[in-house]
Amino acid sequence: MHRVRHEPSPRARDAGVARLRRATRFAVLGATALAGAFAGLAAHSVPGHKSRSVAVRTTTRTVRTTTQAATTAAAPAATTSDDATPATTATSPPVTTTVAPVVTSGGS
Amino acid sequence: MIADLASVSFPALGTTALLCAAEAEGLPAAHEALERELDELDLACSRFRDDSELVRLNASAGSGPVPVSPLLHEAIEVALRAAEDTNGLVDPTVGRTLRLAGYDRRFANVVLRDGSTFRASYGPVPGWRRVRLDPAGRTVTLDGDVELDLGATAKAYAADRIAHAAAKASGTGVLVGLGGDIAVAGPVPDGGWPVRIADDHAAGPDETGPTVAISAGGLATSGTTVRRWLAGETQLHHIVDPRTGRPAQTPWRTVTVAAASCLGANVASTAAVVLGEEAPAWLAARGLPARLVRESGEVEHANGWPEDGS
Repeated sequence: MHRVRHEPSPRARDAGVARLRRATRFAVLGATALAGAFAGLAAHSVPGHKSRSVAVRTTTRTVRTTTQAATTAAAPAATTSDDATPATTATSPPVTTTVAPVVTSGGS
Repeated sequence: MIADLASVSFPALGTTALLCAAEAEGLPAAHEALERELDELDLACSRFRDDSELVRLNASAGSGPVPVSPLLHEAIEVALRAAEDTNGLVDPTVGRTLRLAGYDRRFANVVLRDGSTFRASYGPVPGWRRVRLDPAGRTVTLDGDVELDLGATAKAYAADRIAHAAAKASGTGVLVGLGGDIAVAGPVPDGGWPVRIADDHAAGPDETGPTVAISAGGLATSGTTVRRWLAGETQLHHIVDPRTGRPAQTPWRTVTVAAASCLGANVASTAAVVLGEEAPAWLAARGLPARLVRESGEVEHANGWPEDGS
């Protein structure tokens, strides 16, 4: 049994291609518009930009604070690597006391 | 009043380590911090341990930059700053001449040697500028004739480090004494920390000496009467004058200084012994309270140090 194949006319084929192009264009525009709409909706519902920036600064400050604290604990101010601080920095003189000594300072 | 004060002492670094805590419950944590820091310091800075970093560094002098641990790098940096601050009066490159003079092993073993047959020799002190540090690469470069000895600064620097670490770990005020080098940190007991001044840090309770109280920083005594050894018929001591490469000829038996840190106090007291008669003026120019004892026993005070028995 033979199948009958209908060849479209050139005019009908051109019209079909034009319809397909219009549909594709509308689909692309619609998708773009929807993406923008959802992006705006997400931006409003999750206002993260400002708070994230603060979080970064806070983290940095926390790290610096931690580093300074560790340095202070490990080495007193007069023994840090700050070249401007001389090792032989003066302090208040000792005072005489009648309390029994807890330690002796002498040659060793 | 020091009602809750607790203390522990034990041999360390060739001398005696003492820890006092203003509150007894803080002692275990402070003690743990002390032991840890002393172990690390000895392994990094000892001149007498075959496995120490300093021994390896000295052995590699002249071979270019040598990577070192953060602790040794810091200890050398501190020693070089002390040399710079004192214009070379306290110089870490005295290692070779100290060794030639006979201080070539732990001091307990130096005094066991038959000194009557020992002949000391000396060498020039190359000078601290012959040591180069690279902080970025954490390396140390020693010129070929340089041999470091960190004895003038490492112990005092350790006392400062340990006092601050122990105060932080224990949450209470602490006093750390390493030989004659004393550092305090944290809350201060009422009236301050009472410290007796004597020729020898190991003096017994019956020995005489004034007692003073300190509230911050550190206090150190340098002297020529304790760490001495015999070379033939001559008594030598361990404080080298870098200008001559020999034990310092000094009129002072001991010099005690108070400063903002134990390191600063020890650097100044050592420099004062080396300087001799110029020491009082040198200390005055820096505003450092000090007590100087002449060989004769005569005592001089500088910059607000209280009169003995006042």
